[in-house]
Amino acid sequence: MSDQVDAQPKINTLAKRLETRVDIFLITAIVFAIAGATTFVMAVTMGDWEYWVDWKDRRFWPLFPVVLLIIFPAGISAALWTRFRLPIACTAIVLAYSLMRWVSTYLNFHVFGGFPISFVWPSVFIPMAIILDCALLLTRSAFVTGLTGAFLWGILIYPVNWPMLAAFHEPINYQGEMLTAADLIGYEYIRTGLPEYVRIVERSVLRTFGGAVTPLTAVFAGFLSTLTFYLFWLIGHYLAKPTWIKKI
Amino acid sequence: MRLLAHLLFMLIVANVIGVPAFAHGERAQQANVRMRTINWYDVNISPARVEVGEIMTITGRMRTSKFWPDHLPSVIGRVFLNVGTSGPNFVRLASHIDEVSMIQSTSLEVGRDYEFGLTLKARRPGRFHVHPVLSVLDAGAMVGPGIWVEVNGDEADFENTVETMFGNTVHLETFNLPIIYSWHTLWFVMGAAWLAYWFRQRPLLIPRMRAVRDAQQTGGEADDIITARDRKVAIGFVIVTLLLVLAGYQWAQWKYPITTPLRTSKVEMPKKTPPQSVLQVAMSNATYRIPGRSFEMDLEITNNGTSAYYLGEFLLANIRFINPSQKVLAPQDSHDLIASNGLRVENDGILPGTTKSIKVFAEDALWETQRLTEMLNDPDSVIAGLLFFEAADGAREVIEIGGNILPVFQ
Repeated sequence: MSDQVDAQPKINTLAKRLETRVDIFLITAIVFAIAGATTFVMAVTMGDWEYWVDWKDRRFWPLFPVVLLIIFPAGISAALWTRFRLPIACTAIVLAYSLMRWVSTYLNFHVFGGFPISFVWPSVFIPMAIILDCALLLTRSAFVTGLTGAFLWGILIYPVNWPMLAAFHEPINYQGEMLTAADLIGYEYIRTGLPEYVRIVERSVLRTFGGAVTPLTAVFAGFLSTLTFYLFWLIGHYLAKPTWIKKI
Repeated sequence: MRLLAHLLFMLIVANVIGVPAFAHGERAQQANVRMRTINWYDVNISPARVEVGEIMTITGRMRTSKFWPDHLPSVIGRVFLNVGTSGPNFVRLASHIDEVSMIQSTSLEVGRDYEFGLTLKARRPGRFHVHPVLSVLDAGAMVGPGIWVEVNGDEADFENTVETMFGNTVHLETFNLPIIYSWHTLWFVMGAAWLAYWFRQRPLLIPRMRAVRDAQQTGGEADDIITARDRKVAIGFVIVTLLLVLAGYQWAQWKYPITTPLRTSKVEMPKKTPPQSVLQVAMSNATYRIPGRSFEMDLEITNNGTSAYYLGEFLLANIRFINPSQKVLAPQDSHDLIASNGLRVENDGILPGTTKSIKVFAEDALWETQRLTEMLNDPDSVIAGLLFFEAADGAREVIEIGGNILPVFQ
C-alpha cells in the first residue's frame, strides 16, 4: 500500500511528461499540416494577389485572400474551441502559413526565380488572426465572434498592409506616363507567362461609393469573411465530433 | 512506396543539378496556329554578348496574319508586347509598337504590319535564350524568333533606380525592404507572443480536454476554464494590435500623403491600312511530301511595279527558308531557325508588267524538328506564311499567302 502511495507522484510526473510530448507532437503536426494545406489552397486560388506587388490593388486583393484564408482557421478554431477551449487556431495557422510563404518567397521567387523581394513580399495576416482568436476568447460565442472578429479580419487587411504598400503607390513619371512604383516593377521585371492584362485588378467602373473603392471593398470583405467563418466553423464543429475518432 | 522514393529522388536531383530549361514552348503550339497568327520578320536581337547593366535591344516587324483562325481569340482583343526568357534576367526599360509606348496592353488589327522594339538592361549573368513575344488575351503567347544571349559580370553590380514625382529616389531592387522586414518581424513576434502565452501551460491539450469533457458531462460550464487572466491578456492583445494597425496606417498616410491606384489603362493604336504591294500573288496546289520533308506550291504572280522581282525567302512559323541563288544567310546559333539552302524556285523572276507562274519548294529537316509536320494531325490543314520578293534595286515586297495544304503520304 505504501509502495503504491510512493509511486503515485512518479506516475503523475510521467503522465505529465507524456501529455506534454503529446502536446508538442499533436500541435506541431496539426498546425503544420493545416498550414501546408492552407498554403496549397491559397496558392491555387489566390496566389498572385498574395505576393505580386502589382496585384495588390484596392478592389480584389483586399477581398479574395482574406475570404479564402479564413477557411482553415475557422474550421480548426471550431475543433480546438469545442474540445479544448483553446483560442489559438487562427494565430497558429496564419503564423505557420506566413512562415511557409516567406520560405517560398525567398527560395522559389528570389533565389530560384530571381525576382527582387520587393516585388514578391507576402501580405501580412497575423494581426487579423490574433484579433479573431481574442474575439473568440472574449465573447465565448462563435456567433458573436463571426460578427466581430471575422468582420474585423475582413476589413483590416488594407490598413494592416498599407505601411508596407503605400510606398509602392507613389506616382512616377515614366517616359511621359504616370505609373505607380508597383506598376513599374511589374513592367520592368520580366514575367514571360504573366502579361500585364492577366492581372485581375481594379479597373475603372461606374460602380463606386462616392469614389471610395477601398472602404466599400473592406465592408464587403468583412461581410463575406463573416459568412465564410460561420460556414467553416459549422463544418469544423461537425468534423470534430468524437464519433469520427471512434470510427477511425 | 518505392515509386514515391524514386520520384522524390528524381525531384531532388533535378533541383540540385539545376538543369536549365531550353525551350519556351514555341514548338508546343499546333503547327497551323503558329503559321496563322504572328509572322515575325527582320527581328534583330543585339548585342548577343553583354555585361550586367548594359543595354540590349530587340527590334523587328510583325505581320498579324489575315488567316488568323476564327475560333482563336485574336489581336483585336487585347495584346501585350512581352519578352520570352527564363525569368527576370533582364529588366525591360522600354517597349513600343509603331512608336506607341507599350507599358500597358493594347489591341491590334489582323492582316497588318507593325514595327516593334524592346530595350532591355542585363541583370543576371548567364546564357539565356531571348525572344520577342506577343501575349494575346485568351489565346496565349505568340513567340518570335530567338537567339542565345550571354550576360557576363556580377549581379551585385546591377542598379535600377528611378525617381518618383515627389523627388524620392527609388531603388527597385531593394525598394522599401527595411519597412517590409520590420513590419513582418513585428507581427511575427506578436503572433508568437500570443501562442507563447498559451503554450506556457504544460501539458496543455489533455488536461483541457478532460476539463471540457467533465464540464459537459456534469452539466457544468466548460467556458469556466477560461480565466480572468486569459481575458485580460486577450484584451491587452486586442488593444495593442489595433493601436499598432492604427499607428502604422497613420504613419503611412503621413509619409505618403499622395498615392495613386495601380494603372490598368489600355493603349489605343492608330488604325492602319493593309500592307500595299506592287505584286499580286495567288497560291495553289500546296502539298507536303512526307517522305522527303518537302513542301511545294504553285504561285501565280502579277508584277505591277517597275522592277523585276525574285523570290528570296519564305517564312512560316519563324522558320526562314532562304533561296541561296538570291541571298546568303547563315544561322546565328544552333537555335536560329534558318534553312540557308531551304528554298528552291523554278521559273523565278517576274518582270514588270507581267504575270507568271512559278513553282516553289521549301525543303529542310526543320519541318520535322520544329514539328511543323504535326499540321497533318491538326483538325484544319491550312498554312500561311510570308514571301519575300526582292528586286535588284533593293526594293522588297513582303506578301502573306495562305490556303489549304494536301499531304502526300508516299
